[in-house]
Amino acid sequence: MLKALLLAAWLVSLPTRDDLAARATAIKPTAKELTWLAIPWVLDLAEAQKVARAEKRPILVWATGDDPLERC
Amino acid sequence: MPAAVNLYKARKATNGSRELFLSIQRQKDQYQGIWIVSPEGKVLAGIHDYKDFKNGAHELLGTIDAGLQAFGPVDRRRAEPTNPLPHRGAGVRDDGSVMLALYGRQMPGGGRETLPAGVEAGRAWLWDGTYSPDGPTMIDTASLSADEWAAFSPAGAEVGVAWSVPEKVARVFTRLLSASSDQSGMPLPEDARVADLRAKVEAVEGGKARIRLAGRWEMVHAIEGNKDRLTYGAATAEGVAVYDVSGKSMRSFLLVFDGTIRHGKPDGSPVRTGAVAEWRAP
Repeated sequence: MLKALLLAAWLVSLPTRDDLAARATAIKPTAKELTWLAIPWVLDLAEAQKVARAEKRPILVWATGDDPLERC
Repeated sequence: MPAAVNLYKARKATNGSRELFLSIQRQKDQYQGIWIVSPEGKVLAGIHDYKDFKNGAHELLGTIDAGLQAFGPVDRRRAEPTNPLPHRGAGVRDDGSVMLALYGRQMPGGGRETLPAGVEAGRAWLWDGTYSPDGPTMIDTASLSADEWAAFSPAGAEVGVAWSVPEKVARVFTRLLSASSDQSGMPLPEDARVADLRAKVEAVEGGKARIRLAGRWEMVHAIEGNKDRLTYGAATAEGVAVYDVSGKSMRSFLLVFDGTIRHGKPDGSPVRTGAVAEWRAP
């Protein structure tokens, strides 16, 4: 009985999933701010050159010390 | 033709990427950044340092325009939106590993009632106002192996079952104590002086266990290994995961961090930070 009361008291003090989701939304970038992720990036330079040659267009090379789409 | 590459991986590649990347860097000497390159490998334009960060988008567009002008007429490219990282924040890879989607930001405000322990009364004003972002988001990804991911699965599907997530796994989240996107400022797992993450089944309904997560971290990070440039971070995190009991698989994961970071000294002016780690089954 005491264990159940303690658990109930603990649960009441915790943020709900909705509370957490709202905090997460405040922190995360908006969908508009992430639009650049939907660009059809190619992750390999040689592959990008192959496509650029086929399509006869220049390459936009974005290079960083990390994987740019995974950490920036 | 947009290419997003890790320059260290490009330098080691054996499929021609290495030669092309080194040639690009020789033609326009910049450690990283954006180059506009012809299909034959000639650099047409490039940018690394921005004169004015606030107008960085305009400077970048100017570089792209300069590159296109040097290249000559080109047809408009019709491409569909894609997702080159389908497993970032979603699904399980073939080897059982997952990629958590991570975000971090400076988040001042929120009210003095949210002031964490250890913040001096004279700096409480930094918590005045609405909890809202200040500056750009740090976007990151963390991979957990199948075994590491299994650390969040309950051993039993009964309310009250509780366990500690192995410290090695908790340390993966140390990076979220800083909102800096530069790798030099990113806290490493070994920087954590405290990395404590616990889980507890709080409800089992409809064959799904709802798992409550709570954690605490403290870290000291030396920027670029320089012990004269230290950052001190502390954070707590709360979250919820949902686990399919019969399917023995996680369905969703959300962990929200609230912390402070101080630059230079342990009693330096604190900056409030917020961070998120999330994942969902497809």
